[in-house]
Amino acid sequence: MKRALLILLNIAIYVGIVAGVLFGLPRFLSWYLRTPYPMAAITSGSMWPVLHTGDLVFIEGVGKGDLKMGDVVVWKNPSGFTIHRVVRLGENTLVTKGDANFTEDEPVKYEDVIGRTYQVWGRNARIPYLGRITMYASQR
Amino acid sequence: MAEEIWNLDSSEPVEKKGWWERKTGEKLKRHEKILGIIFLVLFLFVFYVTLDANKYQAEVRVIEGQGRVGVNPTTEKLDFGDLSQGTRSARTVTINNSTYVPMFVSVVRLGSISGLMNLNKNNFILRKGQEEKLEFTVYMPASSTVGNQYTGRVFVFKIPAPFF
Repeated sequence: MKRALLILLNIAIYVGIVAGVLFGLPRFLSWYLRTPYPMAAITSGSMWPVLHTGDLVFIEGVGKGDLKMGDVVVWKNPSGFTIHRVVRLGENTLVTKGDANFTEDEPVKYEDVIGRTYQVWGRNARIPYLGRITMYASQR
Repeated sequence: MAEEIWNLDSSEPVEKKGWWERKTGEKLKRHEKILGIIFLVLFLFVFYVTLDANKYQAEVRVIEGQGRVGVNPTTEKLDFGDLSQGTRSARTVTINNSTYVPMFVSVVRLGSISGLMNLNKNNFILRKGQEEKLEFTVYMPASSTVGNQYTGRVFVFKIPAPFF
């Protein structure tokens, strides 16, 4: 009886840890990074070699005043989200460009900017290949 | 049951011990033997698949200018030649399954060239007698460095998949 209870307790602890990671981590990141979209998968090579296809990057919420040239920002567009580098900051809009692209994107309104990539020691925090899970799931 | 061997000097039976028992002083339990066999089979399977994989060296060089492409016609490796920014080059690898077992084909790309390389088809089943052309395309983006050489390795794994 005692042994069975111990096994049940172990299972409950493991389930708790997994649930905590699956549901708690995104919420924690949302709170910590001040954005409803704290993680993003890189689906194209437009930011190569800084970001690679399949990378998982972390996004932090920023205000208009915090943005500066060279930041890698995420912005909303009708077909989804784009992650490109800021090349020009205007009064009402900003202009971005993918590092690997030859042309700049159309001007983006500040309210469409979700945030910028979270940096650790001056480098974009990214987890290689982990974004492929999201990409695979969205294709199914 | 242990075998009995007669020791001719002492005229007493001597128990025959296996290598594991001699080393550790303990006999292997049944579940340990089963696990050992499973691991051995898995290891041999992975070893065979790795050995059987087609392996290619891949490389491309970035040259100055616009719309310039220089192709090196070699079949030994995936050499995409010299490309200027904004140009692309393609190479084809033909694979066929001449065995009686369907094969799951998976292509793995490694190295600095892998971020530049696209593949028309990956992770698919190749049935008995079937042939497939894999087209590898390299596009030279604006962020590439002129004069650089990007290299890597391409592995085409063929994993037996008899139940597909």
